[in-house]
Amino acid sequence: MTKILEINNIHVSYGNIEALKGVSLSVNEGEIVSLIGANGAGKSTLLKAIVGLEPLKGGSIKYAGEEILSATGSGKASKKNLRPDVIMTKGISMAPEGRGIFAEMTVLENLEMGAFIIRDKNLINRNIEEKYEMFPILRDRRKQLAGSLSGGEQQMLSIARALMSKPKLLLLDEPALGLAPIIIQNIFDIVVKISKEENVTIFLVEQNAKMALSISNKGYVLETGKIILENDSDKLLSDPKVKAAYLGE
Amino acid sequence: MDLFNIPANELIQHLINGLTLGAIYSLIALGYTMVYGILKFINFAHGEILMLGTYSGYFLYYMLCDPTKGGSYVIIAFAVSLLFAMIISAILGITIERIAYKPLRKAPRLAPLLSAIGVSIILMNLASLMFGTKSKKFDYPFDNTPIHFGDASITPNQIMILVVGLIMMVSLKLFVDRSRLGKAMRATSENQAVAALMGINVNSIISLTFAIGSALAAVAGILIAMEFKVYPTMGQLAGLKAFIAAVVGGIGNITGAMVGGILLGLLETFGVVIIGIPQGLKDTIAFSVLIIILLVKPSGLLIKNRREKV
Ligand SMILES: Nc1ncnc2c1ncn2[C@@H]1O[C@H](COP(=O)(O)OP(=O)(O)OP(=O)(O)O)[C@@H](O)[C@H]1O
Ligand SMILES: [Mg+2]
Repeated sequence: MTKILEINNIHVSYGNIEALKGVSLSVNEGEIVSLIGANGAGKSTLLKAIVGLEPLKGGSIKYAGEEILSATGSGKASKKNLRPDVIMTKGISMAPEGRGIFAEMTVLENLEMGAFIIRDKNLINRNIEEKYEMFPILRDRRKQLAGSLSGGEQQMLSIARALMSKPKLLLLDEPALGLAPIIIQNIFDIVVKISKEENVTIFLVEQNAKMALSISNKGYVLETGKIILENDSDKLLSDPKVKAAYLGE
Repeated sequence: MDLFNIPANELIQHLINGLTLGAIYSLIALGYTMVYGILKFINFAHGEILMLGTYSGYFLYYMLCDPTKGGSYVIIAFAVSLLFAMIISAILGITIERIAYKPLRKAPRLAPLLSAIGVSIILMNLASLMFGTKSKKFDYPFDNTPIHFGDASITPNQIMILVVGLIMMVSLKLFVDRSRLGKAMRATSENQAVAALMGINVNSIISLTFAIGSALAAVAGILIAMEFKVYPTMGQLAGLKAFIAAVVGGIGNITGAMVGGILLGLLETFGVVIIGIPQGLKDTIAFSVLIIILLVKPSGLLIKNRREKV
């Protein structure tokens, strides 16, 4: 199976705090891969590093076989590194932590922004129509300011917007955060559906380990900036360490 | 209709004068507000961008024609010079941002502000050095004899200010609300990191913002120049008042800057005639309004909707 994403021993720091201390992982094309970890483990930092929003102090990141980000030997981000907006055009899209919707723009305008890199108006309209089919509530709310949506609706908008550019790799940062259990179920069902129907690889970051592992092929466990476990998701679900620390069993 | 015992015809006259003054403030205020919307910082060199754009338009205008001769060629030369002034200001705005503000984006808030003040002073002194401190007359490209209707009158230049101001503001509003880049601009002003995730080149959007704001300032500068001449400090007071207009309307809000500018123009004009503020103290009106607004509604009259959910 071909690896769409390869992360090789990356280090990321905020000032003196080292948030990622040599993380390596890979994501196979077509799969759902989840990364679980507690608050402050470095999950969001990892996703931001992949899209180029946080500079690498060490290591490198390959996407579809191409090195998109790396650090020099002296611990500085390489000058050749691609900017986030360029990385995005390669086919990586992210629904960021806290949803990151444009609250003062309408639902429709948010979706249009997701398709910013597409110039073909017909194609954009077709994509919008597809997203409305997937999330009918967004069609009803299309003229409404995104900031006035409920939390669950905002999460759907964030995911729909991330799909507007027809990405090959979708990064989801805690899509279940702060949502009611029934909505969480709904969101995860949609994630599975997207993976099947949209021909997109999904890298899912979650604290909700049970949910994330139950829908993914493979899982990683991140603890204070280090990967401490990696395995097939069903094996992780029955791993005693995972059970004790993340499944509350 | 008697408002404070002012006859209707005089009222119309003051309205015309207030609106033209206000339109100019609005055009300048837009630059402050657009830059603030994206970078959360006040570009204190905006007035000097206006001034240098006006000088470049002035030089081209007198190189191309002798305005006192009149005729259609002069009008064409004027239009070309206006466009040239807009382009020069736009380039200047982009360049200043790249050199003096961009390297300070991650620095504490005060740093780019001080840098802007520094740029403003440098440009003003450079202009005095290169062009002299003596003010230069900017002749109208047309016969500016007032047109009388009833007891009121309007000059062709006032008509031009109102028409040009209206066209600029409507096009800007349409651009920001409807166009792909305008929407990207709004997205960038809400959240730069997420805008980048959409594939938006944030640096280009910032440059575009400076270009548009600066070009509008050049238009205002030329319009001012015809009424009040061209001189190195011409951007100072006009800039400061337009900044007040932007704050009054709600800094960061484009419609707010338009409304704030018009409001300030009307207040200044009517303040003199209604409250009887001496002409010499006219400038105190703007600053008094600023203080009152800051006390009563610090976020300005037209604040943005803040309904984000966490
Ligand atoms: N901008 C920042 N400046 C300084 N420290 C930061 C910054 N962002 C994150 N950190 C620190 O880096 C570490 C990892 O943070 P990160 O946000 O990646 O964690 P997370 O796993 O996403 O947590 P959560 O589940 O709460 O979202 C934390 O210790 C955090 O305090
Ligand atoms: Mg996080």
